[in-house]
Amino acid sequence: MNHTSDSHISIENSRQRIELVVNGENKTYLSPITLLELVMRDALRQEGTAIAYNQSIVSRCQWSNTHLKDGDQIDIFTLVAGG
Amino acid sequence: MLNKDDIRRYSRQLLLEEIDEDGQQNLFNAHAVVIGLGGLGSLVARFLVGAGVGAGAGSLTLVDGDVVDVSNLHRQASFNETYLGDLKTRALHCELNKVNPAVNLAIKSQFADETNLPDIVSAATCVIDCTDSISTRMEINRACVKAQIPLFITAASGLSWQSVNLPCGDSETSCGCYHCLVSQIKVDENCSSHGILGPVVGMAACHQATQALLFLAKRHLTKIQWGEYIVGNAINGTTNSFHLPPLPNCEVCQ
Ligand SMILES: [Zn+2]
Repeated sequence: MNHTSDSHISIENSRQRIELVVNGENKTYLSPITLLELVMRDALRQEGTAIAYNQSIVSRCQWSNTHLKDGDQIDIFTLVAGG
Repeated sequence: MLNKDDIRRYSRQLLLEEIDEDGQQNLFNAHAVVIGLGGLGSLVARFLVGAGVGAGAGSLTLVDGDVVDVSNLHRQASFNETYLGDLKTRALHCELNKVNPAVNLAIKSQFADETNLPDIVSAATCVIDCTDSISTRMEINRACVKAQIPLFITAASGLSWQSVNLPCGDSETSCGCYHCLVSQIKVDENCSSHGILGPVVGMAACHQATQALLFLAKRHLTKIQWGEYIVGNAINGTTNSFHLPPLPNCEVCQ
């Protein structure tokens, strides 16, 4: 347990820790968080990026209103088109 | 009824319940269209021809305006040095005739675009998109949705391959189309700069040919998945599958 970040969270008492599975890895985030905020927070390249939320692809226009919950599974991948 | 030569030629696939004799007849009578004859299309066409697609009342149409280049040979398994500079349609026609001369091959030596696609896809049992650009893929998707023709899309780049089977209105499945997938995504169009390993595009092609053959053999009785976007990672050998829902107000499919 990281006490520094715990006390930081208790100050922001409206925010809760949630665990998300991002590309197969467990990661901790502060709720509330949307898909768009996750992409921004992790500084992910948005060019060519597609995201699946609980195994279903979410269009970019819906990233900002997709609110993430504890245990959600997020898969981020780059779309390819070559042949 | 299959004749003795057919039974001998197709014996190994006839043993599969997913093909069997009825399925083989359906393969003979199918009209398949392969658009793009690069790493994907040249291999997909080779498997379809071997399996007898279009070897009866049907046909197999090969579409590409490109010529064979030496930089193609590491991944485009149906070509070799004797074809350098030749149209891919002609080179492939020549090679495929040596594999199975019973297949009715049609070639269209042109790049698919908005204007010729309605004609290219008309009367197809399915279309197999083996092209290499988002914009062409979007036009193929548009033409297939309009004509309600099932579409098999596969792509590869770097060490990743991706694939989706789209019913294009000809099924009860509620899934989106290619436009639903890419219309909101800014994609770097210049795929040639990312590199590709020969067998990775081969893996994509093998998956695509398998899906198309299963569909062509049993049509809508097939158990293949529609509207599931598969992402393959060739480094660790894994695949993930994600549902592709329809985009509300998609200008193509909704
Ligand atoms: Zn759509």
